[in-house]
Amino acid sequence: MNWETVIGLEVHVQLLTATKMFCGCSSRFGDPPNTNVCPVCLGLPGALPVPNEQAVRLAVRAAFALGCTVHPRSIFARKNYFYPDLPKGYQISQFEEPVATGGALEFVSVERGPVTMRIKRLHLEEDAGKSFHDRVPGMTAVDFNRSGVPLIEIVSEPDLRSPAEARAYLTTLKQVLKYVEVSDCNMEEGSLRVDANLSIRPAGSSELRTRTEVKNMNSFSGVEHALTAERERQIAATERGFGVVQATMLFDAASGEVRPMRSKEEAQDYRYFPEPDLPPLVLTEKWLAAEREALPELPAAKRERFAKTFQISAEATAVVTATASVATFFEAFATLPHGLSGRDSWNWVANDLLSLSIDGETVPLTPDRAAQVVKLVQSGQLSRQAARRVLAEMVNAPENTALAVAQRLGLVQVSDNSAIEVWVRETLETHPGEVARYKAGEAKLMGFLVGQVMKRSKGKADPKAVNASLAAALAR
Amino acid sequence: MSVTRKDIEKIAALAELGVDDASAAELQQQLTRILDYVAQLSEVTDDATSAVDERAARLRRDVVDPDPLSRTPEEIAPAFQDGLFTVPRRAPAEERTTPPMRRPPDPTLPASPPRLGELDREEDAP
Amino acid sequence: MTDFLRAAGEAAERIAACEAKGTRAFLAWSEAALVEQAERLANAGASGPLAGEVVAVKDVIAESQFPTTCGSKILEGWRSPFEATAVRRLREAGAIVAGKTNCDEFAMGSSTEWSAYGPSRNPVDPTRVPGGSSGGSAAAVAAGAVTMALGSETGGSVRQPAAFCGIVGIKPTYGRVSRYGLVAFGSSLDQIGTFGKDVTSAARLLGVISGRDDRDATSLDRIPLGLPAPAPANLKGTVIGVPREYFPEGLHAGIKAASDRALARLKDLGAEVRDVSLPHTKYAVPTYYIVAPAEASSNLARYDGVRYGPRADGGLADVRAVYRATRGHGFGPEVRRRILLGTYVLSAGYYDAYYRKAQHVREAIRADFARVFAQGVHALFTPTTPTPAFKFGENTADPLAMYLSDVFVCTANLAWVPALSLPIGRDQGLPIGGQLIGAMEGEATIIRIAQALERAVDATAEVR
Repeated sequence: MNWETVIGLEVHVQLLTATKMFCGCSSRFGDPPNTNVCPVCLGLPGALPVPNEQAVRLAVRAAFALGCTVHPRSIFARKNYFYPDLPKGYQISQFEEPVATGGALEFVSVERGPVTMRIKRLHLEEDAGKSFHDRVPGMTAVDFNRSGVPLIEIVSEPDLRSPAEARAYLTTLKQVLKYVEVSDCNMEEGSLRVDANLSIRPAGSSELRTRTEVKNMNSFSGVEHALTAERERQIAATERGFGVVQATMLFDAASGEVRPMRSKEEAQDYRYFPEPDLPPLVLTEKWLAAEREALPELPAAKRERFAKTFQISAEATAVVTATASVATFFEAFATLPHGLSGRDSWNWVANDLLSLSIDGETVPLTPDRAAQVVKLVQSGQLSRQAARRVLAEMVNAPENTALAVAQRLGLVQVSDNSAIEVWVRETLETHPGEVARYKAGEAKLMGFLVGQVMKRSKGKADPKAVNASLAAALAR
Repeated sequence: MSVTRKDIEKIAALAELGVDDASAAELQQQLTRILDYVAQLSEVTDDATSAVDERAARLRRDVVDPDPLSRTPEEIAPAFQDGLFTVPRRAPAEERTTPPMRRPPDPTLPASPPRLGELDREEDAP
Repeated sequence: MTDFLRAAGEAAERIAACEAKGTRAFLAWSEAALVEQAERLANAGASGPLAGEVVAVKDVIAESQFPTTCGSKILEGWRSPFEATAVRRLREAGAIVAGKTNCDEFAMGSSTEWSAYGPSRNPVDPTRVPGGSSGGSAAAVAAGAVTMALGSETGGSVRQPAAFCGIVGIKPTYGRVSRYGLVAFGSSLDQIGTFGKDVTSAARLLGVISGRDDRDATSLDRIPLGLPAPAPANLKGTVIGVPREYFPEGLHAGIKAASDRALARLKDLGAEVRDVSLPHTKYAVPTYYIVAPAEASSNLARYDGVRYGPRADGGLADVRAVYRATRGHGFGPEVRRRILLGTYVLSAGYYDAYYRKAQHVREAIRADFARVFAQGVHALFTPTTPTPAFKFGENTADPLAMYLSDVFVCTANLAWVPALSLPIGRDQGLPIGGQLIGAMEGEATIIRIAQALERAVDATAEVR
């Protein structure tokens, strides 16, 4: 029996705001526990929520970036349940009337090629505090610094067909959200969290069978492993006649297995109702138009434009558009007046400049300074290998110019013909045998002779100029 | 609209309110009476079909400006340790109460018990 | 220059005298705290519209010197680390906080009999309730301990005790006074209200605490109301609507007589009195008893023993046990009843029939008021309560009977409109309140009418 996998994802993303969703506390990660708290995010008696304007802006930006319809009027709602890190005993979220619905994100599936993932909804909500079960013996310990941090929840339709697609979708989603500077999307730090829904069905069928929810994945590869494990489990259970029971499965990264949460008799009833402490969230047409206008160029659009403008392939553009910062660098670099073709600019960036990155997201040199090195190579003062060393050194170099750095490193090539002619003459005088054999027809010996000249120059001679001078001398 | 004993148990569990046998019977009766009384709203046919709230939420600028607390979390907490609010936690070994078996055990599931907290919260896991 | 210390000293004496009679208006007060505040204000040379006034504050309102228990064991000893905006504003106006007054637990009740610390007594007749839930504040004013007090309303909890105790109580337009620091019961209904020995006192206090607060997203974008205008000489040109639904067959004879007399006085003052109808009135109590408990069940979920307040001690295995022990012992029977009722009407399968439906009916109630006010009526006149103050124990056996005593007052909470109760006479020695209901943001109008009526009516005279 061929089984098809059906996966949908709910992604929670922390927004890049200075303060929390409903109070003026700092939302910074990593501060000492319970130092960024106030009556509101501690749920003290009498406290009230007031929504963060920037959180709304970022949510709308994300919604536009994902092609969603943004609703001018949306309603906050209470999601009621008890947990030690949920201070009010309810979470302020959105339910019947979220801020955005109906978007789509295209990603590339290894199995199927380009796939459009439909986004069902995107809504605003607040985060809960962080519970630690192993910090204090015999106790659950809670830090409320995270309580109230703004989140958007992005819910997809069950359009994924494999664990690998889930990973690809997440990678693409992360890139888009980082491009528009809505979130860091760092799973390891908790600014992006994923819950997955998975079910299986006979290949070719369109029914939707019982699904399980999979949680506790801490990385994109963890998502792929967890969903693979759960798919296997469901297939095995079904083939043995047990069927799939609706359950919540937790991924254990150490063992690579999924285990059910302790079963409950009843599903949780969140008793959603509109948040009476908050009037409707109303966004004017003017404000929405301005946000739409201000939306940065998205990765897909940028890739298309680069491919056309710089005449490079789709795969190649992906490399230089990995982050918005790299893309900006590439575009600025490629349009400088160094006379490089798009392809050659790409070579420089992809092969020599990206490797200088420390954070994997930005190039630590300006395009102008990088271009100085290009010029030195073009003028023959630096070999391509030497250029790499100079670039690396320039990142922290005290010297202003590439030439100064190259000189300090002693890498400046000699392409002055009079010096080269001396080395050529000396080499030819020292190796009369090889010269004779070359003139007799052993063309391969040119390489040896070039090498000898280079040695004599202690590597400083410009190989191109040596070749030309040697060829001319041998021809006489 | 009769409120059953099971209803009382279910809503008391949702509200984390323990209800003993003595009060349960009385609550059943009282809630049934009240719900019967409020059910007359179903007679109303000329009400709005949607609640119209014309207001618009005022938003706050994203500037760090916390509401002041005159006492620290440590001072207000019933229990506090290492900078954290604490509540007692049952050791995982003790929570191995067998859940009700409704079907034969699924051999594809790992044999060892869940390693996790006793709370059935779906939003978080250790 | 205000003599703050003298005001504090005199207040201490009056409060002590009131409490010595067994009124239990206060849950917490002390002469030392009065004096300390007076000294601070004196040293600062404070002035302001309430300079030297001593104001009692209902125990559901966060304040820094005394615990904020909300009349409940679950917050026994809870010292709030922040103050309500309303309290901060009355201090900035130069007032002294007298202490915290008794109330039904979490403001759920109409008599203070549900206070976990024992009921307050009606100073006019100590065998009777002062009303609720703000019964302590009402008693404090009626006993002369203070001339002004803060209370709160969700379903009439300021007006009803004002009527029972023979004083003035005002519920403002929803959003007029900041709810920041008012412990939430029914968030879409709650408002801080004011008591006064007369209309002007209550209005002055309201004038100071009102106005936009950026910490409350539901507060109206308005400046504070400020001091009331002087009482008008007459009510010529004022149109008073009398909604027939508030004068049912079989209305208590004393209440009816008092209302008739007040209406006659209004006519004497030159007002035009018009018959009007608010057809959805009879659905107000059932609507209220779905919406308020529903919101309460959610608002009271935070009382779980985790972050603050007393935690039930000893041998608790896990957090669920902490929840159940804390909430089981900490909440009284009426609060538990309403939490369960509220949880029920919000639960899956019942939400549409109960909560959603109630919000729609609420719109109809609001529309009734809007329609009447759009037809040139300036204010409505009705009785405040269906009976005068009842005796202790009369309504505690049957919750529904207690709920029905809110019939004339909860409409204004549902419709968000302002309303005021002032004493209009006595029946067998018991005070009777007359209610004025205004249009949205119509506080100035009802205050003006009330000031005129107050002068024209002998509030202590027997009506039959």
